[in-house]
Amino acid sequence: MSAAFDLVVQSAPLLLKGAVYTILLSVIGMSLGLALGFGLALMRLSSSLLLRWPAGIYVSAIRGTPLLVQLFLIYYGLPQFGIELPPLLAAGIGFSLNIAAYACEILRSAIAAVDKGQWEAASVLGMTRGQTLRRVILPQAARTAVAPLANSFISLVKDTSLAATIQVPELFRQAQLITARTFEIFTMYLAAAALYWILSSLLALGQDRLQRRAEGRR
Amino acid sequence: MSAIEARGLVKRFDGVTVVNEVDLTVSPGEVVAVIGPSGSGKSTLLRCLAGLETPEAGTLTVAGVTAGGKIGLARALKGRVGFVFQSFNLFPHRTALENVAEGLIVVHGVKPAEARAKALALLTKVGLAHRVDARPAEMSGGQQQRCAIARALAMDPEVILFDEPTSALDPELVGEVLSVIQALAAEKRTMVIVTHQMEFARDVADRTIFMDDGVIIEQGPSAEVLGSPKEERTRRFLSKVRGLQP
Repeated sequence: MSAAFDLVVQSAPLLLKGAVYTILLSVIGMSLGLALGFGLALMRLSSSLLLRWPAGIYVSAIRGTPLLVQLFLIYYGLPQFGIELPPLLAAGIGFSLNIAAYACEILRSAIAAVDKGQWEAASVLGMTRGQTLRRVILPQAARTAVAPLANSFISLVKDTSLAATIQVPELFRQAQLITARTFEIFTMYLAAAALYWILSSLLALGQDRLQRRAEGRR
Repeated sequence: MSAIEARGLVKRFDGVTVVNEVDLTVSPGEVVAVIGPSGSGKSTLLRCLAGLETPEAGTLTVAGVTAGGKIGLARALKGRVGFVFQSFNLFPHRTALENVAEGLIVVHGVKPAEARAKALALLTKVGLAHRVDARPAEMSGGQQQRCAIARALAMDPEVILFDEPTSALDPELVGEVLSVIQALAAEKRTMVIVTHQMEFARDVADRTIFMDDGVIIEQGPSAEVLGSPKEERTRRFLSKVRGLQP
């Protein structure tokens, strides 16, 4: 037992280094995904078919295919067309593109859930669509979107373990490498699992606070 | 020039004609009440006047702006036509003061400090000086509606349209909103009020219009239309509203 404990302590630096990649990938995926998802949401809410359609197809395709397959397409598939991306970049792009589709749907429904009377009240004041969105609709939609977006973020932290399959030295990959060397399979994966748990618990705590703040101002 | 000039206004929803070839002229300073059964098209007519609905046919000029331009009527008006909703539609994430100042800052480009001073004066006028920092959820229905009236007034509207302004209120709160509207009428403001308050219409409106099935059935001085209506349909409606046998 103590041998296993020693091993965990010895491998801690490697695991923590992996955790840094995990956090990095999560933060990149979430921020870029959120920005892209917001653009997609606006496209899906547009009155123009030319904007609505591509966004709708994109969201459907991303949500309808496994994230693992998407990562493989980017990392192993694109080189066939001469596009060779380093693992971290490929994973960052993959996660961003994936989160974008989910964020789009969350934001779209949050915006659509704002009472129609709010658009009308802004409109009779003479506000433009953009002004209304910025000053009236989005502040209200943001409150609705906080909880589901935080859920997506927590899922993403765990999903980044898929990046191990495309050579990103993140947490799960580090655990794999140590296991291959030491054969302490259960211990190492348990240690990795514990780290994921700690990370998502911290995020859940943050989500709780953010939500309480959003509701407190309602 | 008239404050409102509508000719042959038609509005359909899914093939159902809700407003049918309505002509309406409102002079500056005039207060007009619109009454009629629910589904008679009175609210839709009012919404057309504010640019909240786009009529299928007819011509419309409100506060000097003619509908049908490149940008929508509501936006083109920039608040020159105030609209007071049945359900208030205040911005829930902003305080009373911010609600009133919003249009001034965003649409008229007034400096925030100046806009807030004007908003404070208007909230005082509608009796809400003590609630400037309250958010809509913290106010009673009557307070919210008075705040919504102040928000419309902030834009210096040439015309104010009221869409059943007291229908969503508890009975004991109706009076405080009606008295604010009454005060505006005393200032000779141009107003069109869709209402179910017949006594109020008689007191405050120079003219009353009775609508049914999307057309104006009868109109004239409020005392006449409400006191001794010429049309059978008006009589039937009024007696129903007053709870008498037809």
